[in-house]
Amino acid sequence: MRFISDWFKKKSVPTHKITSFALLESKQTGSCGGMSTTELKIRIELILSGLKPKDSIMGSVTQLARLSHLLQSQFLAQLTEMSEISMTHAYSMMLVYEPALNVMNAEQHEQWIEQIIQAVRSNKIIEANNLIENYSDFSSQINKSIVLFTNVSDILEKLIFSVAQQKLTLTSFNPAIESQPYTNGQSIFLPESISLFDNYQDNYLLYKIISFHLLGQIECQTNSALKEIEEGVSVYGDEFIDLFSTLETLRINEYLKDEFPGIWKKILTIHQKLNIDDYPDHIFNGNSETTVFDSLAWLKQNGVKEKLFVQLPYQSNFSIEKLSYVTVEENVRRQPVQMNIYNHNKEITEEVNNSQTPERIYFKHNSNSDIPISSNQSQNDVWQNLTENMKHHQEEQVKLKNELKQTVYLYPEWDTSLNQYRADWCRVEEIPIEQNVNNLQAHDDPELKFFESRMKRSLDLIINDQKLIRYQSDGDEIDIDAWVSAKSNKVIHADDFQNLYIKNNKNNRSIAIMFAVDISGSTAGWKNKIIKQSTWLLSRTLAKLNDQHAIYAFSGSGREHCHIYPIKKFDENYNDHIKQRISSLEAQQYTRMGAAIRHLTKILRQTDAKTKILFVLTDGKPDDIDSYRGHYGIEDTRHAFNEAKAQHINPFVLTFDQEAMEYLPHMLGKKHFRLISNIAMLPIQISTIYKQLTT
Amino acid sequence: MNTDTIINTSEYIIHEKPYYLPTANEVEIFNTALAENIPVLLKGPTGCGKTRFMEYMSWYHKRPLITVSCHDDLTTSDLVGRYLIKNDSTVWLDGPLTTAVRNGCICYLDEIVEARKDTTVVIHPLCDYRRVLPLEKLGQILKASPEFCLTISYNPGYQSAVKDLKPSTRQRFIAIDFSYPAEEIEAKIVHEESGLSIQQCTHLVKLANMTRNLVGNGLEEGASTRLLVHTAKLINNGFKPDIACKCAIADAITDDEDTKTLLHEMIDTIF
Repeated sequence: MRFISDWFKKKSVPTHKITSFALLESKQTGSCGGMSTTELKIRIELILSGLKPKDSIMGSVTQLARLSHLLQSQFLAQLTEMSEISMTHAYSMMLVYEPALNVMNAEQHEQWIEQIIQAVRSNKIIEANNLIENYSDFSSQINKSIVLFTNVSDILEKLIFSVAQQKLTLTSFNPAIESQPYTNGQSIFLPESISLFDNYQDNYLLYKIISFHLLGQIECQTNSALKEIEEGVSVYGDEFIDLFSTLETLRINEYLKDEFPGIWKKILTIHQKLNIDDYPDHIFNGNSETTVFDSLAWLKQNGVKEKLFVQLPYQSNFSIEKLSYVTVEENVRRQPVQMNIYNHNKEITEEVNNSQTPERIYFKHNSNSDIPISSNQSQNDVWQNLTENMKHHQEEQVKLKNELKQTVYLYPEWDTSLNQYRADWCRVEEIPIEQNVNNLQAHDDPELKFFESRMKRSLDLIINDQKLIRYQSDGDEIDIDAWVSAKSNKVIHADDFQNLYIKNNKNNRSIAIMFAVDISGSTAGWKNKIIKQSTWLLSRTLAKLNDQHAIYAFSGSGREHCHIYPIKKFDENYNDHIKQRISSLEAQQYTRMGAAIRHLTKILRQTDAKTKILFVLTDGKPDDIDSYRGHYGIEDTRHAFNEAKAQHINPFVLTFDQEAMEYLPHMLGKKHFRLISNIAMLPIQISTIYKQLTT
Repeated sequence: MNTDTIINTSEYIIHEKPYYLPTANEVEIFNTALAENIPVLLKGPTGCGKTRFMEYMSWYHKRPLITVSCHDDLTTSDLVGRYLIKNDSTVWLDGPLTTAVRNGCICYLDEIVEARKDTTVVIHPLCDYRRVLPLEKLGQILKASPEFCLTISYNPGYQSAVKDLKPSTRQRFIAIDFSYPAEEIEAKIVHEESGLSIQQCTHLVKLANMTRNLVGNGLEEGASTRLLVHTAKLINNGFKPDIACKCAIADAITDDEDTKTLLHEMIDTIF
């Protein structure tokens, strides 16, 4: 039988490359810490022991230390391979390894290394040098038609979710182990890349079709005749499963034709492009209401001898092994039914023994009953696993409940390498600031008066908002004064009699703003001083406004220690305690921004203002130990901001990181941040932006 | 001082039967509420047929329907009435609520949560056994006509803390929950409203359901029945289904580029 991998192999990269570089998908993941610079330096020096580099390798080592452990191991293996051929090229490659990784995707990077090795092996030194030096050009020259699973999994997963109304995880399968896409009923396993066609669009289309086909396999309940398929295989061997697979694919096509005409049109396009002229649409004759037993009946009627002529590139794996897997999953899901059987509940046992499986059976737990020894070992295992899992889960819950004090919160984190959230991953704790009275004098600095007056001037219009507006053409009340004035005018002006109302311009500003101040280690020194001054001035000025505002600082070290420092809560008024807290603000450790944003969003969401703004003041990109940095940190923060947006909160970032343009537009959108070059002007900048945001 | 209370309620009467396809027992519940003088609260997402239902019930009972679309600038005076200056004196002008109370109309306050909370309180005495409307500026207490009926609507899908009904308001009503109709019924509604083939309408409904499954996952609200009718009308006027869906559904429900791309993918899946 011709498998889908045969189709993919036609133009895609060799499968061994894909396998080895599956590891690269985890680049910069926060799930594992990398080797330290010292360890890396020692290892690199060992590999490059025969070479005495002109310059220090510390620069490159520092870059490589940012990578995940998995990726670092990959690098060391490739460096070793290269050093065995050419020590000089190994050294040159090391210098640009990390920058190259930033401009290429995993597969391109693998290809790039492969080509360098081949060029050196073939003694094409100039070509190898060119490849290393001009690494940034490489990605633009290679095949753009390849569609990588990682690039499309997100949209496909959402698309499948919108149809199936249940979470079906999309995962890539290992081509060294699997040859065809398959499903286990809860996940859909797709190829790591598709490059069958010479354009991206068609390859993407194929991904989409395969996904819907696997969804079709679930919806059309192919696995409901497992026993019959097994019998067929035992009698006819592999030929049976080949024919059955093709028939089921045709049957699923009928389902797709009926349910998703758009997908069916795309399937026809693929057929046309691959010149599949002998598609046997007569077999199910446009009948979408068929079952797997119709496929089996067809096989019975026509015999297994007949060869079915079509080889379809989107055909999935219908082997017993894969279909059985679904059954095991189903069994786990239906565990309560089994538990009742074990518990010798006669009523339920009768129901289960009935040939018609009930849609849902409610489980009545009998805690006194023992688990009987079952002859069916697999069922017993399932039971045992489930009991252990439940016990473990209960223990975890008790532990969590004990731990969760009022000031400790757990938040998820987006793991971009897994493409999913890690539940309860970050432990956020609200820590009161220790007040340092001695620092109070710091804010009585005369130089701040200038800033304060500028700030006040810029917010003056908002502060002096008029409440009752007289002489209006429309309003809630008659303006008697205006009427008397109009009547007593010697010269009658028509206009006087048109403006006789009082408009009750109740302060319509309904704004809550949360200032999130980054106090990571990098803000130490003069930056910290400016931040403190700005925060203090802001809290003083905003106290004159009716806008609800809160100020929280954040920092931390690792996912277990995300610290939030309340400076001013929404329900507090400006007072000396707040002043003292601001004075006591000191630079702390790292910036795990996603967790901080999630927590502050939660607080902000509880206000009753119409407009809610999350204003983040920071000096750099998200950064924490345990590899919360680079792409990983940015993606998690981006998700946290998106979550805030979904809750009607307007995020805004004010940063002094001069490299912010590289990541903030992606993280937050073009209009939601401001980069300031002169940090000394921060107080004025804050008030100006505040006015822009709220008027 | 004059009290200007004369209005022509005939302009509020709906003469032509509006198309409305009941999805559950909402008509019977409303009829009973009307007979028992119980105010009614209609809950449901935007474009699911709340307003159409009111028009239908107004037509059915031959009672004038006064609709007020609430907004955050709506004051008590806007509902109850106000003095106006006429020549050298002031005249009182009833607001829509007072008009409905005096004349035995059905008063429909659409999207009540959009109104300010101090405005909403004015309906309280009307919604219990008293059925009176205090006209403070006139110094009168107006007793509601037996035919008067108050109906309010809101969309519980808004997650905003300010857009919610106070319990003291909420607990004066019986509620009819309007979710989107079942697939077949919704397809029939779209078909009746637009004239598009039932098969195409079924596809549109399927697409709408896909978008509704994304609520909270990039979308604030899925495509409404009203949007489907708009789309169907575009298709019926010769637009290709995918273009019509992109204009009337994808672009209408989101501005976010990523979500729009996903919606386009959905459209390509169906059409």
